[in-house]
Amino acid sequence: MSKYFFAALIFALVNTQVSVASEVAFVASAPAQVGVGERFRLVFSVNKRPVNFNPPAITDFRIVSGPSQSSSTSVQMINGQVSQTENHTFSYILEAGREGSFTVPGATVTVNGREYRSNSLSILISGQAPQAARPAQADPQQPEAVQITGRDLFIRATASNSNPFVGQQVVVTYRLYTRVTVAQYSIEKTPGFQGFWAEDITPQDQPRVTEEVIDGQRYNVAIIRQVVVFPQRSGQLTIEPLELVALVRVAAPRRTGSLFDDFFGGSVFGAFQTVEHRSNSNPVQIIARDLPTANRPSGFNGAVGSFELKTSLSPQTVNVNEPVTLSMSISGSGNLKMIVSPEVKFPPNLEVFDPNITENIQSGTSGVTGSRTFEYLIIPRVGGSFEIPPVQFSFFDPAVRKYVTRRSEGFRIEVSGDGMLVTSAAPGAMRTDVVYLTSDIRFIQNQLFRLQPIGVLFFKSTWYFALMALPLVLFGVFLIFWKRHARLQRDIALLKNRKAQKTAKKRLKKAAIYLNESKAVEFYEEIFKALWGYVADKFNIPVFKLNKDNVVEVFIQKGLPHDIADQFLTTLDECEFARFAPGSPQRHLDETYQKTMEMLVTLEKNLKND
Amino acid sequence: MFRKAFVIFLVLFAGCLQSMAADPQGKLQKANQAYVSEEYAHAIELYESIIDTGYEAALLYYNLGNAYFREEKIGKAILNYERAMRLDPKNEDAQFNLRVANARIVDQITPVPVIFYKRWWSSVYNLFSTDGWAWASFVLLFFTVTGLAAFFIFRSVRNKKTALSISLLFFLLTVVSILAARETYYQRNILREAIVIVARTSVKSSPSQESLDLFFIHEGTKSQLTRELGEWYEIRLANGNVGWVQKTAIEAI
Repeated sequence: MSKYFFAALIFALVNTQVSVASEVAFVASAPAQVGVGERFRLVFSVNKRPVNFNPPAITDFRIVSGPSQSSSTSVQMINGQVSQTENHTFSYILEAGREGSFTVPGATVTVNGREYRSNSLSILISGQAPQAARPAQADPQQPEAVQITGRDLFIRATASNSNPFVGQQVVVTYRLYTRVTVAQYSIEKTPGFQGFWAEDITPQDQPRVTEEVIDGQRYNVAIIRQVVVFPQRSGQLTIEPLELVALVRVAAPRRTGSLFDDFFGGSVFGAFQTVEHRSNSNPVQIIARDLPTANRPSGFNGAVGSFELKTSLSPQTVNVNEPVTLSMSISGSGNLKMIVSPEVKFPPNLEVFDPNITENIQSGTSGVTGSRTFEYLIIPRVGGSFEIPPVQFSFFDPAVRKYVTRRSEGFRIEVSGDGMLVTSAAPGAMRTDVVYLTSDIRFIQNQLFRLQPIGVLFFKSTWYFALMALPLVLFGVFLIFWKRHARLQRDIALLKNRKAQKTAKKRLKKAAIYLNESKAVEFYEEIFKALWGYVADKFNIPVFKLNKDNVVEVFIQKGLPHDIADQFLTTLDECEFARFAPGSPQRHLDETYQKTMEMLVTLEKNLKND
Repeated sequence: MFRKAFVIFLVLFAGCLQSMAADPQGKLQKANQAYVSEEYAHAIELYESIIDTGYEAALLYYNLGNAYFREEKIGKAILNYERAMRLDPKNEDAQFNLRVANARIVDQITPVPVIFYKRWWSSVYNLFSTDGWAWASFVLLFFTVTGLAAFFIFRSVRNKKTALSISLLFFLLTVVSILAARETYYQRNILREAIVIVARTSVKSSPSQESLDLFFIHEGTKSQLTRELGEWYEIRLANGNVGWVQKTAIEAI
């Protein structure tokens, strides 16, 4: 038994595979008729796993969500026959935008390498939204929906002027026309005012209801919104529609067979139902015109409307450093909020503060009216009489299509007192840094100056290298000369050094002759010369620079022991003593001679040792 | 020997002065007059013709920049102020007007911060122009050598020490001024910078018309030129952005 069952099952499975592969169904489905503003589902379903889903171009509806994909598979076995069903869906939630008949083109999917196209759908959008008219409080199983059409309730937007000038005010009014009882309404979407400067002037109180007959139908009309707009640029400008949701009370249709309801007519016991109705106003087209360029006054600053200029200056006579107020009030109707202060040419020496701007603007059905006041605080810093030239204010009057200029009178401020004296309590207190009014460039150098050939640089030029080499060359020359000079000096010293002994010997020989002849004075002179000359030659110091005071120092500098220096000095002293002691005995001369000889020998020895 | 060289130099210098003749100077006078009488376009023409004949001066570029500024050609004005600053980095008027002109350009480019010692160094080398530094290096070298000679001539140890240290100081200053001259030479002649002279230009990712627009730069913006290829310059902005710009849109300083 089980053997057969399995065989059957396998057969069935194989069979199913074949049958599924053979037919692919790709179907689109959606309700055929929907109301404006209603949301509905658009479903594409295919009975085989799709590889690729190409959604259709949905242009006539707003896509709320989607596409969302879902899949289901089921296996059925009926009377031993197994069948498998797959279902893959791609669904959208769409919202119907406007009335008409629209087509949703087919989508394509790829299944097993082949492409399948779904059917296209035709959807009729009517002004009524049968599903959206939900019963708010009545029985949810209400069999029939109450229908409210665009003829029962609609909104109209009107502009007071569809061809204004740039900056000219236009009042846009939204009126609600209704033949049914509106319990409540709310504005869902306020229009955007692109290209405009807008101000809401909707009356705050309950809208006044008037009656109007359109196409033989009597309507209740109420202004629900009013906006003043000022076009900011020329050309075609569109004000988007306003979206409104109204709760409408309508009599509930009778339920057949209910005696109770029949009897009471449904009205007394609240057999009314409240229905939500959504409606849009018409968009408003405005074509704004450029302001004429011909005869445009120089002081024109974009004011459009009809204005008056009032000016006042008070007080007219003041003391120095007392404030004066110049007030300019522009009143009328037009784009008041965009008006800038007329230019005032204040004389110097008046300190002027930025104007204080006060507005008194009423927005009504006739547009924006009121006044804008500029108050300048002026403080004269020095005495005298100051003249403020007349102030001009220009605007474009769209009513007469002309530029109008209002002129004030000139003003005069009489200032008494001397500015500097008043503030003398704190000298320098009134001083301020020089303030740059605007940043402008400095003036050109209008005196002639030296021009030089382009691209000629001293740096890296031959001249530069030559000049840089010059000090080095000079230094080289100096060094050569200096070396030669030094060598010469050294040679002289060497020579003298070598000659020292010889000269000393010569002198001693001479002294010996004088000694034999007993010529004491000459003898001592030679001895002296021998001693000093030897030292001078040996140490390369001029004789005249030597004396008893510095000779010891020189000895020590040359590295001779101290006792030799002392010995030298003693010898000198003895010579001196003998020299100036007349009639000194022959014995003294011999002794001196001997000592000098010894001295020179010692010196020679010591110096050679070095 | 030095005296001889100096005399030769003086003669050459005088020759230079003479060779610039009356013509460019006369033009300069006319150009200045045109500027004073507010005929800026005419002034620009005259100043440019002086430059075309091969003469320049910091003040010439300064005046030309002013004329361009008056004609609302901010890019050209900045270009010429920058050129003036290259010849005379201390020119206060050029600095001021460059600031004023730079306040009017569209692009706000925050430069990549420079490390402090580079800032110090730049404030040092910007003290003089290239030639200013060149002359300074010459004079300082002269002092160095004189000090060294004094070192040899002086006998006492103290004097020798003083002479040597002064000489060493001058030597260091000589080295600094040569380096500064080199740096300014590099900054002003080798390193190429450019100013955007058209109202707006796109910076592209590669040097071709079809390549992607990376960003836009506007008139007066300064950039470094890093490469060139055909009709295109590769530029680097102060904030480090790099891209290719057509040669017609910018002008090298």
